[in-house]
Amino acid sequence: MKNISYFKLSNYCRWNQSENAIRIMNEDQNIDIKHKDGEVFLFAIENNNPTILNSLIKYYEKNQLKGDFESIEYKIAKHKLQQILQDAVNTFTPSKEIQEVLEKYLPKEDVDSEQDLSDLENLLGFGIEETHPQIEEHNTTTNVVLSGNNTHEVY
Amino acid sequence: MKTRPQLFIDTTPLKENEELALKIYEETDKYSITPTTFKARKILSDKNLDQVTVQYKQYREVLNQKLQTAKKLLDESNQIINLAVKSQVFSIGEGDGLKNTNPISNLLQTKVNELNNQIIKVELYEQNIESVIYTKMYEDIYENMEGNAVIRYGINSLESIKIAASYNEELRKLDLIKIQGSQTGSKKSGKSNKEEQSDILLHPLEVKIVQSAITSLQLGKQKTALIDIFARDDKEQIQFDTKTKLPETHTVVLYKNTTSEYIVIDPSNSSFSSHLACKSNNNLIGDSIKIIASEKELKIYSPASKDNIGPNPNQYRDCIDIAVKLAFGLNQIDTIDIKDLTNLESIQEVTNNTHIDKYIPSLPDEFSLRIKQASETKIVKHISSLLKYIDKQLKSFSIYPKEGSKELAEKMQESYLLEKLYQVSNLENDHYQSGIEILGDFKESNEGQFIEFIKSV
Repeated sequence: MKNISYFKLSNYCRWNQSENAIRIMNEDQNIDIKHKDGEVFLFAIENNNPTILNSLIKYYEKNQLKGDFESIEYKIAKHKLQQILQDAVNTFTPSKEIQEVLEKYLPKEDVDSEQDLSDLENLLGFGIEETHPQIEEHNTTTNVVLSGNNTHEVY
Repeated sequence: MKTRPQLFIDTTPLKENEELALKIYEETDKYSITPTTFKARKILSDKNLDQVTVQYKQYREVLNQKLQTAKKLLDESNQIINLAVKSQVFSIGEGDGLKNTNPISNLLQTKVNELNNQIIKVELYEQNIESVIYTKMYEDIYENMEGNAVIRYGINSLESIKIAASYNEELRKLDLIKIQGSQTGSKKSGKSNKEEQSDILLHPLEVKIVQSAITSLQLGKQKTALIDIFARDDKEQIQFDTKTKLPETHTVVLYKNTTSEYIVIDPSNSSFSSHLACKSNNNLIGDSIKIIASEKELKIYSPASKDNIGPNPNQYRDCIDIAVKLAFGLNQIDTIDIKDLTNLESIQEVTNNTHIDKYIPSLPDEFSLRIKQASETKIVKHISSLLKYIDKQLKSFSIYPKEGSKELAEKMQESYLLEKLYQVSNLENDHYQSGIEILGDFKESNEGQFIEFIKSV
């Protein structure tokens, strides 16, 4: 069971209540705010709340980004933060204010040739969908004794 | 004792103690789906795969034509550079550098490589078509209390071992893994970039399954069908379950938006199945059929842990179960805007994603809150409205501007998160009514306490 403070913080971030969110973070320094793929960051970005987002990042820097800059623990923690923020940006379109907060934490994007390639494909006609003859269905349906074990363990 | 569904072979009921019934129970008891929704199974033994064979052959020809065009353009591009060097448009040495960095040549070379890979893969699948004949598909029929039904086109995992293993072996031989290996990505469909749809080619068996589902949707009244696909690893190989040693499959919903447009709705993570909608697979599935999927990553239902999925009260539901519940809801909708999936009531009711249903709190991993995806629509709707009401209640209490209100609101939150939702999370299927009572009483008690508080201040 996680610290109850985490779940309260999650609620306050989801409810967009900056004052309560900050209060919980001040009261408890042991909240794992990267829990559940960093959902609290996502709430702040989704709700367009730079105040909560800033406080979360500062809290993370203070409590998780500790120690030697060159240490593996530091690098992993930094990478995790970048990953959470990048995922959030991919999921929600961030506002200008949020982008300003995120700017220094997100890795700079490489100029990707994918778009160029896609433009070229369209230009050369590669992107045009082909047509095929209509498929007709010829299933023969039979009732057969269930055979074997069909376990479907997924996820 | 568990309530068992009445099973049928066509219209003939099966007795509970018959061998076939026992075998079906043995299997379906492993699913987390409530047994009453499982109605019947038919095995489809498909001896005619001519259409799929033609489809692959035609697609290979199309790719070949594209490859020739790309090669020709690449040659022309390189010739232009050579001419420019010869006619001293560039000084000696500069032209060679330009040749290597010429963006058009580079893009064309990338395209040539990509097409070559694609052709090798299509040839590999063509070789696998015959083996599909020996792998039976099946139709499972699920029906809820309102007579709302959905058919699942399933892959028989046990029978597909051979084709999956031989496919992976061929893939390794062709060294495609090395070519694709640089892609990092999700477990099911091999890509993690949320804006990018994976281009994994469907196996002939999967093509057949999608085609069968589409044909049935075109002929029938239902809006949805369920289809099984193979889970792929990040090298496009068919994934095998480490415990059962069987090919892993994943069930998704196919929704008929129009007779020619079908939407793939993944019960767990859209990136697991987004490749169904890529151009290559649209080509393979058929003329005048368009399959689309969410471009943004959409996680409708996620278990806290892969190891805690099953039919027990403390376990998370599996993708078949969630897919069935989604299908029941989506069957009631005429058309869907793919960009608006998260606002659909049927998705919000089933989801455990706090970003889709904005009224459910984040919960400890031990709380599966299965009641939210109950088979009975009435229970689902009642629970959804209670969760929404309580969430709004706690939200408003926590910003009430009187001294002491925050403390009271936090006590209520603690009781809700740790006590009430825990009780509700661990209920057996046939005790869901008591879950409604627990939350109903909590809602009433909160209101009473808060009124007392307001009076006292």
